[in-house]
Amino acid sequence: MNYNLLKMGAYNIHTIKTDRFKTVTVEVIFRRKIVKEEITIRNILKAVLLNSNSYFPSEKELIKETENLYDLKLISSNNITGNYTNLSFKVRFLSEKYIEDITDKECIKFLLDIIFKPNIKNNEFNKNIVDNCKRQLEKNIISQKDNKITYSIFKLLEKFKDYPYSYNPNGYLEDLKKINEKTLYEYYKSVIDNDIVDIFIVGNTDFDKAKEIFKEYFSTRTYAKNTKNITVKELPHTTKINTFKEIDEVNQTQLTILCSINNLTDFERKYTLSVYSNMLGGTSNSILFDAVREKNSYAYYINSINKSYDNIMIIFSGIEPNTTDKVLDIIKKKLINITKGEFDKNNLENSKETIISGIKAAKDSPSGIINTYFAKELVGSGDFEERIENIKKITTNDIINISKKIKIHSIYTLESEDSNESN
Amino acid sequence: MKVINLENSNEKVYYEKLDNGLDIYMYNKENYHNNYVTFTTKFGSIYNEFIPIDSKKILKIPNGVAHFLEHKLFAQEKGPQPEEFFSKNGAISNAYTTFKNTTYLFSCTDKLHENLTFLLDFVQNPYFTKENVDNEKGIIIQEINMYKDSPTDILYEKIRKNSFKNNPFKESIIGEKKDINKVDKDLLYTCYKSFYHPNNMFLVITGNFNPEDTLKIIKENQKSKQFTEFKDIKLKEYKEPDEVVKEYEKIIANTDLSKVSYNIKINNKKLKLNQRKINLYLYIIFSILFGETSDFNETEKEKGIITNSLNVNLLNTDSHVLISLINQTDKYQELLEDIREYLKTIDIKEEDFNRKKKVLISNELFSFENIEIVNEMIIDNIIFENVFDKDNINAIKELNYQELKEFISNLDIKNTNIVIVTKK
Repeated sequence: MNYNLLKMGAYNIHTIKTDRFKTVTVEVIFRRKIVKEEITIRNILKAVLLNSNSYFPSEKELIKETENLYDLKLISSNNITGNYTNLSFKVRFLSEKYIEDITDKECIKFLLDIIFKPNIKNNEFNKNIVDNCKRQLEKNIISQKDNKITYSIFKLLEKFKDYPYSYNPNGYLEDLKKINEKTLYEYYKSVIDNDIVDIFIVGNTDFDKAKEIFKEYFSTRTYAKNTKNITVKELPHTTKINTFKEIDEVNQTQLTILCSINNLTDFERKYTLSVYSNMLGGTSNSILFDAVREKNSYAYYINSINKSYDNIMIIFSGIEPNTTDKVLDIIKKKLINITKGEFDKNNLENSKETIISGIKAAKDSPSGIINTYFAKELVGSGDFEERIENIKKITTNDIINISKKIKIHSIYTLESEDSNESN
Repeated sequence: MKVINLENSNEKVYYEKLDNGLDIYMYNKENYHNNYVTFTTKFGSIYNEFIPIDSKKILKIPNGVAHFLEHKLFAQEKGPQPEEFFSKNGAISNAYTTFKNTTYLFSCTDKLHENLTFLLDFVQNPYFTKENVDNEKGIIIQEINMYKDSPTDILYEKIRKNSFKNNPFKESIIGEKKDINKVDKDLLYTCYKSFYHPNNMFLVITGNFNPEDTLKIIKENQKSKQFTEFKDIKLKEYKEPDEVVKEYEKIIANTDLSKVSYNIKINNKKLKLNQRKINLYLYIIFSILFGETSDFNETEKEKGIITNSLNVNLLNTDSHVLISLINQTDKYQELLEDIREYLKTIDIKEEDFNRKKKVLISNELFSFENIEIVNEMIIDNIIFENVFDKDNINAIKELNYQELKEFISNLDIKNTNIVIVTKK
């Protein structure tokens, strides 16, 4: 696997040459500082661009074309890292080495047409398509409660209004109403002209040719910019834990805990925190899984996720009604135990091994490779080998030190009426 | 060791049957880092009435036993517990239960042989006690509650319940609380002895390894173990009518967006083709009719009835195929009327048929990039076709437009039902 960075002035092209795959993957990522009021329109833009373009003016025709290109996979996503929002457009297609009648160039050009040849007349997107995408997003927003885990996490984070992680990644109904084919076109232009752009190409393709295709068709007016202040400001620790409770018709209680993390070093943010969180609630061998599920049968799942660039960690579990206090006691006790160094040292070594395996396994998929190099670009994390070496270095003391920087801040429960009465 | 050549995709799979009956499939991908290993028994939730290996009488077991067994095999009497062992080696382990199989698995980048041996040992060494079985009940009941809090899961459960009368696919894989409370260690041992014989199991290894060395390790491990003589397990036979159980049901649930399904129950036998071809033709027909490239999809979106194309779901049971068209929309009455109208004439153009064939072939090529998908593909072939001897591309290439037209003329889509999950 051979990584190269081409600085093209306005944007970067990251090439990763490997003969591991029969496919070629090309991903274009636009990023900018997140603004709450832009989340909805950014989601609409993602959906509308993927629906048609000037050559294939309806979804039907566009998808037929992807099928003709040997089922080229066209994927877009919108996600948030710290203070930044990343809008991505990606194609994955069978390399010209394995098919006769389609070239890599045609497939790359297809992606660039999705981005630069949208279905626009008189500086407006197509109204029918915009309206349909709006109705779909509206559904996503109103049906959030169908997934009790993500709903609960969102309801808890929503309380911290000054922090980007409180924003609803789907967007807001009041912002949705304001979007029309005109305002969307304005936003589209501002993304093309202002966002920071990184391009990733993975596979066994002619990179010189690919570079020429980008030179010819990648018509952005943006200029090279640096990403600043990715990390969200700290949520100060609190001495009194906030609790929020919502009553609903549910069969199990959702217990969601927000931990604030203060004073992380750069190394801790990139490496130690992931090991800590993995030990605590990352696998079916974790400290919390063992204590809450295996020893006490209170839950089927309990996990922790670390959001390093938000300075927070979240613990969540679906528990037996009326056991909230008991489960909380267990979790608090386990957090304190780690701080005192009272944990099985095997847990630490196991988590390191698990994370290292994950880093190695990421090399087996184009998206794993792109994520690694995008993180390198975005936050300056290491490449595969450097990350493995750094994970290996982490000691018991490192875990004890970081554990002192992590404190429970707020607790949210979603529970039924009955469990409320008996509490 | 036999080589199964998958000519169309230019890939090969190694195969061996051990003396004790265990089938082994290996797919080796050089320059990859990860390995994915699955150990599967042909025992899933539908095997709920059978003659146990040491008995002559048919036994009816509560729903959810195969899944309960899956949870409990992770308990070991001595030594490290599976989660701990795999975790120490940086491996990630898991297991799942379906209608027709239970699969134990791990993925790892290093120490493949050590992990593989451990997988075989823990699955082949059950340790059930009254205490550990009782402890598991609380955990499984929380798993049941998790599904009960998901409106989509409620929909899928109800679709099968309202479609099948005697076919055990109608039951839930995990069971209900009352089923779980009936399970004890003796019942688990009875099922284990009947279904976990090597002759009823198979191992699939995909990743970067040397097949000969790996096979040697497996043989040594299996040679050291004693198994009773294998006896074919007799299942209770059932007759499933072509008619559905309940034609319409609306369920009130805790959701803010209605979920709707239009389900078609089709008798396999009447289609006169093998299961794989039936699936491929049904996939092609229904994705052309309702997928993103269909006129139906375009019109319904323009009318504002749907916003996403219908999800087409095929459930293969031994007697019938159940096709479910699923969507999330509060305008479900209009959608259902339009589906009924649209299905009155099924007309597939040759051009669309050929394009979908191309899509199917391309997807087979895509899947060889992912060792987990290759592994699952082999499992699926064995579970649903009882054999893995060639790649799916062969079967896809054999499809032809003339046969499709005959297939459509034999297709009886009058046995249908509707399930809706909606808010108060």
